[in-house]
Amino acid sequence: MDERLNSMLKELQQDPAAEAPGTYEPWTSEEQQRLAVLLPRYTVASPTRQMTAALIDRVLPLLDDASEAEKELFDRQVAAVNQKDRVPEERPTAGYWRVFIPQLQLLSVWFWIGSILAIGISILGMEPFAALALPLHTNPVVLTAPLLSLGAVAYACRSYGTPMYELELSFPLSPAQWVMGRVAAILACYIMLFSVASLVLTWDDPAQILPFTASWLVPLCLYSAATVVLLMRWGTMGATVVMLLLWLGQTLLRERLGPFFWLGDLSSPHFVSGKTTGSLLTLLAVIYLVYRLRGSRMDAPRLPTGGGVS
Amino acid sequence: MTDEQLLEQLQGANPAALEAVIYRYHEPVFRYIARLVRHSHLAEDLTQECFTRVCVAVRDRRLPNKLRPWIYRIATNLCKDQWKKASYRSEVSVDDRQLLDAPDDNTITSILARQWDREEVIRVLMLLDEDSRSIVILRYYEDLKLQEIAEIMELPLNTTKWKLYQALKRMAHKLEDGEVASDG
Repeated sequence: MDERLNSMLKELQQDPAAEAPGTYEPWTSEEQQRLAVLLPRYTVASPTRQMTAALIDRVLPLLDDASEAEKELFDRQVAAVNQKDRVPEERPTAGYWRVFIPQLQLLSVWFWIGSILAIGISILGMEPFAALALPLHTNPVVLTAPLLSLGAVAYACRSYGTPMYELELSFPLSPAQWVMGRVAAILACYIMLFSVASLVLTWDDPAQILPFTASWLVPLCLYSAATVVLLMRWGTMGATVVMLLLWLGQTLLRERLGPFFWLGDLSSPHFVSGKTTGSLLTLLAVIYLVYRLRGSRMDAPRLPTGGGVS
Repeated sequence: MTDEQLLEQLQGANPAALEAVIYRYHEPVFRYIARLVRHSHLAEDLTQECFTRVCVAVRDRRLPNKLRPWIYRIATNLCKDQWKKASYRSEVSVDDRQLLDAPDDNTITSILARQWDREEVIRVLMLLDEDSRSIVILRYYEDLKLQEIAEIMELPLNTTKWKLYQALKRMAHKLEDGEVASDG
């Protein structure tokens, strides 16, 4: 039983108001229990010590000089209103880390272990794959990067379009921060891991590191961005199925797609054109995302129904 | 240092005493206003306005007999003024979710359940008239004495008691209705 509530009710019952316009009915245990459970739920955030110190700085000058200090306080209030939406400018990285780190923590340890394993297997598969000398114009690392990225984005954003997403939006994140923070976290980690793979695989021929990096980086970014775009239109399941079919189609048709074969390696005759069209499509997808997310900056977007897998 | 000692220091417009008052009352007054207006930015602005008025009163030597009820009365009057503004009602619903505490290590299910409970308490509190809502918040959340609340609300003690009793009874019944509706 809530002690404060208990004492309040006792106080009201033991010492009822004289000349009360009605009678004091006794409290039932159900009523007490209900209030005891629910009243403490109304929590509010408290101001920080910095906010208190800032308030003191603003208010105390009023003691010294009335007119000047009041004018200054008014000016500060006007400036504060103008600055309210630009607070992150004071420490540009603080807001970024505030969004980025919790997104990483939300993905489970098994997600990261699985990702590292998949990348490790793709690196180990490079040599046996090359030994087969198949004319596929692709390799395990280039095939793994987009597959992993689309799976990761779909997994990380699996709550999108579900009631869980509405709950997640009750945390202090805008929809744009939610999506971009999560996708940026995944991309940053995958790019680091695949960069290490590139370094290892091109150790004997450093000149190959840039073309090799481009071979997996373009499909990685393209599949991530395209998955997010489709996710916003068709929900998680729809986006995942479409992107998997695209990846399968690319893997099977390969060079027959010409400049639209984005999974080619350095041996592909359409390597440059494929990576160029892939980069342009990524750019278009990013522009669309920025446009779409800017539009939903303050309000939660009306989400596609269905498709959630959480 | 007690409130009475602080009040004595404030008679001489002592800046250190005023600083101590702000350190002591900033958090409770902010919480009180935030619960009443349900909008964090608005609560910050009203809290600042409250302490500005305190400061101007200290400077002009217009001090009360008791510190705590006086500060809460200023805060209450600021909220009442705010409620009268037509623009207020359109603002409150947008920012309410930002007043949530930071998520802790509990499960998503328990966070969700607590959030529903919280929304239910807010809904029921909003059904009360303004005076009753302030009285419940001052008594339960801010732990003020009934006599102090009566001074803040500028009501007789008996009326304050009766309003608190009625408000809690009404809340308990409305919360029960809410439970029945959700069960049904």
